Amino acid sequence: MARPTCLTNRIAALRSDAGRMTQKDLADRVGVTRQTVNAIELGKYSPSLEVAFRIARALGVPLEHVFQYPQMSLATEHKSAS
Amino acid sequence: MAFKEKSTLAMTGILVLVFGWYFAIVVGELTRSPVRDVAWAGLMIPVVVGLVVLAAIAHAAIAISAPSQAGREDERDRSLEQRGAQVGGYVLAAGTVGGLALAVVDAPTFWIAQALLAALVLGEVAKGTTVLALYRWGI
Repeated sequence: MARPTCLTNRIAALRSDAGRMTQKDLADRVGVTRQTVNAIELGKYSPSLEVAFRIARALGVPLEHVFQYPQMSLATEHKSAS
Repeated sequence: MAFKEKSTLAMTGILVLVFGWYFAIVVGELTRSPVRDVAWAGLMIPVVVGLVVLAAIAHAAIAISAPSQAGREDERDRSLEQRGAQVGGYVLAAGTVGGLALAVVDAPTFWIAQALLAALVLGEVAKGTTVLALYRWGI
């Protein structure tokens, strides 16, 4: 049913670093619901590029500090696509 | 639970409840009288009224329970809705083909109507169930 995402993130840690920012605080800044922030943190939902950038900006760090995509996953997907 | 998730849960439950009641009555009548005597068209009015009233009550209750979330939706809600609509569309299409097949073989209007109605309902239920599953297990 659900396609497991290879995308990982450090949103929870970065929220904590940013002065105990809650999921609701981040959601309000980004313009999504708190449940969506929770789903992204748990790897249940991969956000659009625009929301990903807004999250990074709200946390005050570059995008690649928030989201990571393992090299191995990229190689595996490239192999299965060809 | 997000507002849209609660809304989808409520609407799917209401659909199952109302159309479960409708089909239970229609099937009950079928066991007692011939197809042509089953007054299914008249049942549509209480079904539609019931759907509208229950949906309004459910959404008012959901909105009152969390006023700040009322009506809010974001890209995840829309994305899940689209996935659900895709699945529901397949079910609706399959049911419609079934209804057309009944028309081709000159089946009574009653059976064609029930097949098309069942396709509509099952399509919506499949859509709602898919959306709820995606909310739980991710996309």
